[in-house]
Amino acid sequence: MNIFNSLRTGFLRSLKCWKGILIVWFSYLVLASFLAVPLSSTLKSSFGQSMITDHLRNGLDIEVFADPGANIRTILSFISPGLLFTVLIGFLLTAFLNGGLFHSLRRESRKFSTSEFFKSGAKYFWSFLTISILIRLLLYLFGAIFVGIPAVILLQVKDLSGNTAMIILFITIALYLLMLPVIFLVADYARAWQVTKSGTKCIKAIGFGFRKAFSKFRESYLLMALILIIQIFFIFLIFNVLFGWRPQTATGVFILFLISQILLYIRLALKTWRFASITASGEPYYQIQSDRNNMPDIV
Amino acid sequence: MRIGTYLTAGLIMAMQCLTSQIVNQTPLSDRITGYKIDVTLDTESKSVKGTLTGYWVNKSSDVVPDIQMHLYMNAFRSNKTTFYREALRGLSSNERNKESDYGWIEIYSFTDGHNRNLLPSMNYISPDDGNPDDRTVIDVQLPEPAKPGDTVFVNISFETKLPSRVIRTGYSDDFYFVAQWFPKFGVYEYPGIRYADKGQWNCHQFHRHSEFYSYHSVYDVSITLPEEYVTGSGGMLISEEKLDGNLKKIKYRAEDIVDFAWTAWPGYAVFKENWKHINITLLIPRDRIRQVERQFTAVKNALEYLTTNVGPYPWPHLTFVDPPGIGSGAGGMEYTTLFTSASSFLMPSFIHMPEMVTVHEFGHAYFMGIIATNEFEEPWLDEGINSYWEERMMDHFYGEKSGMIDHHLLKVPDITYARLSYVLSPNRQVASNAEYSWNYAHGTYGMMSYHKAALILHTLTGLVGEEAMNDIFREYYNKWAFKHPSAKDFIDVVNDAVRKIHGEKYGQDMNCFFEQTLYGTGICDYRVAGIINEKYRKPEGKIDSVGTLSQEQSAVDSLRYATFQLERLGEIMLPVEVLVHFSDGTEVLEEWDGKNRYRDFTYIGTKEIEWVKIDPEFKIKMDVNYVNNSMTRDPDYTPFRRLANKFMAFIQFFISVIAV
Repeated sequence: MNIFNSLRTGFLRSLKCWKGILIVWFSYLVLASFLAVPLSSTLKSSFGQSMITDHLRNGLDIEVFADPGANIRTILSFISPGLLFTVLIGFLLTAFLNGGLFHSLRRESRKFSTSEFFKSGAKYFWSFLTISILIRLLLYLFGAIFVGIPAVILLQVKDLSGNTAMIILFITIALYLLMLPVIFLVADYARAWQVTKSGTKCIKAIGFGFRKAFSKFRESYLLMALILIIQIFFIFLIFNVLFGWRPQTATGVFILFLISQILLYIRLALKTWRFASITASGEPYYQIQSDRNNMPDIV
Repeated sequence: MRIGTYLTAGLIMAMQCLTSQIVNQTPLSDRITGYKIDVTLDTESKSVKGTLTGYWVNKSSDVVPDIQMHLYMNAFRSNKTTFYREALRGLSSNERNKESDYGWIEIYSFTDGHNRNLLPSMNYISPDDGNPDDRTVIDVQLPEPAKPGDTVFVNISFETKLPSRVIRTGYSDDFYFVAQWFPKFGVYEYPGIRYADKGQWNCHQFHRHSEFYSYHSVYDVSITLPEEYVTGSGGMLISEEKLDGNLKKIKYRAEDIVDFAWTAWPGYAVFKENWKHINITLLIPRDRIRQVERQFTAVKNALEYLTTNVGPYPWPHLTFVDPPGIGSGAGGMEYTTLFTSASSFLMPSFIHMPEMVTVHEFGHAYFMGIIATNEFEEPWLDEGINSYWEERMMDHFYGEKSGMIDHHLLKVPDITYARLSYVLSPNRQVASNAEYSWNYAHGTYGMMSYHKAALILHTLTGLVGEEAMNDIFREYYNKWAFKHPSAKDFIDVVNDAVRKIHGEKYGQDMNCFFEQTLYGTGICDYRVAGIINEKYRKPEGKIDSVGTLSQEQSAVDSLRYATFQLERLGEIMLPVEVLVHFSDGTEVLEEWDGKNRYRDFTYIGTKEIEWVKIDPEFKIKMDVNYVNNSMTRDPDYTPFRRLANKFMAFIQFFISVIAV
């Protein structure tokens, strides 16, 4: 399947899974609100009826947060472990939800089914978690090889000018960034294969991911690179909204909430589009016997 | 005898050279000391070796039997010196045991103007802590005491070995920053100078947290070194002569400055610009050329601001150095007409750290350079005052809200950085500013000398006004330039100026202000304790006043008692302004002398109090908590909701990224 067909197929399949994306978005919203809602209440009680909050109208003012002294230290000491815990739970949750998504994005899947979504999430949870952890370790390993080690070596070289060091670092970072799509391809192919081949060990799935990624490297690489570029542009948009917009009224804040959540939903949809496109481009995978007899029309 | 005569004549000629005019049109100071130094930099042994001819004039009415001199470089002699003992306390055991190439200064010969050997009468003394292993001060008994008006000549041959760990001075590879490197006279104080009630030498040891104190002197310095080295110093370049063996000899002259330092490194690029009649030279590593423009802009801004608001910069030359990474320990230091800045080639333009360092270190040309205070005993007089001016300049030139950081996501004024250093310090009440620099407990030297002292001056500015402060400093400059004032002298200037401008608005003088803020350990904290709006109660019970019931009734129903309550939580008492806003939109600015523990203001009328602000313009920078300075009946939590929303969205986004 060529790139544009894969993209088109992926787009249609991800549209079909809009409910699944909604479940993912809602799960993240609930998880994040466990930190954000207490934060808001704590800030309100720390500042009481003070008007110093006027200084926050146009952005962050360090002095406002430093003056409450011990109260702010308490807030910070609650946020840092809370954040770590939230991210950890989020990682586990995503492994679960991705199982449901990949299952729903298969060629064999018909209508999106919420019960199938959760069943698959539970079925593939451990293998998807293992794949995620291994891929993340691969990312860190290649980061250390491509960026970390050169940076350490550059720091030891005494006579090297700052400009030369920067150029070398930029090159190593660029190489690392060029390598990222390959890692993501491996992850996505591995997971797409895992959901079509029940009972397989996830290490085998990763092996498959590598084989598939390199078997039609140019097409796969270009497909992933294109999707990632689109995602990066979208991330810039999210950041501009999050950091640049400072509504001054309660209505404005509510609109900020709505728009930021819509953008996050779209961000998740783009990610699902990536999963779906890669899944479609790698088909057919090994199929289970029972499916062969009841094969639906290819979407 | 003949040798002695020739020597004396030679020394007198040397003194005449030292007292002649090359740099400035007329002498700026009394030139009580002078130094003619001729040295060679040995890049193999990392040492500076040569001779020093110097003089000290006894301006007192005392017969002085001795001279005292600093040998600062001996602070790096071993890990038993006072400097290292104080520095090592803050290090881990691993760091303490780390080998270091130490530094020292040795005197090989020491004679007076008559060629009499003074070495036998030279003793190392430790006037501050009695440390027998500290050799940073010598006392030399003179063969004949110096009578009033006498000039004491000294001829010293010495060698200074530079330490490898650059803490203000030292070397790293082929980078040299040579400071505190020669035998230097202490200051002989007598009644009329600072707090002296009798004549004695003021010559302290070199401590971890101390700086320096010396006379304004003339320096003729010749340095022989390999020709590939680019040099800079606090002096004006007089000549550069090529010698045999790939060496060169550079001669510098500096007049009426308190210290002479120099640097040498082959990697410097040299840039020159002018500001009015002042030639400015910048030495900077070649990979930081992009920082040149911002460095020159910063120093010219500082020149303009201090010239306008304090007094003229009196020398025709200025050199500043941005040391390379290997010599970063030399950064952020001042030597009057030479100072060191700090930057990096990666420094983004929205972080004004290089400008802040440049402006601060240049400012020391005024506060400790022109006005030569005793940095050992009253460090706030240079660091605190200079920090005050640095914060004014940064927030003036780089934005009132963005002097330190100017990014659309985050803006931080320079004064905020200073205020938070004080407000957030857990030890802010451990000491007062009356301490000698090495006696500040629990690492509070920096916070007290720089930040608290600067906040005190900002608070004074809030009370008396910026123009009054400018008048104070102009008067301080006019009265004390090229002299050695004490804190009392500064406070006297403040008292005179404030009385002239404000009469007795703040009492007879500002001594009470300084006693609380500078010499006290209390904090300043005012708060709005409450707002009460209640209906006026109808008269009840046995009332003996006469009046028609219906008139009373109609008058009473719409009346309100509107009260706001203020409290003083801190020990410092300062007059404060209080702004009250009523429900009908009117506002009243009240004044409270801030002395009692509380004060209530009550209004009887038809309107209610909506909000109250103590110090609405944030003039009292020393107030440690701005949050409790205001109260409103209807707080606006929109910023918190906005922050929480963004935080939530950020967490959601982060989770979606972290999971591949």
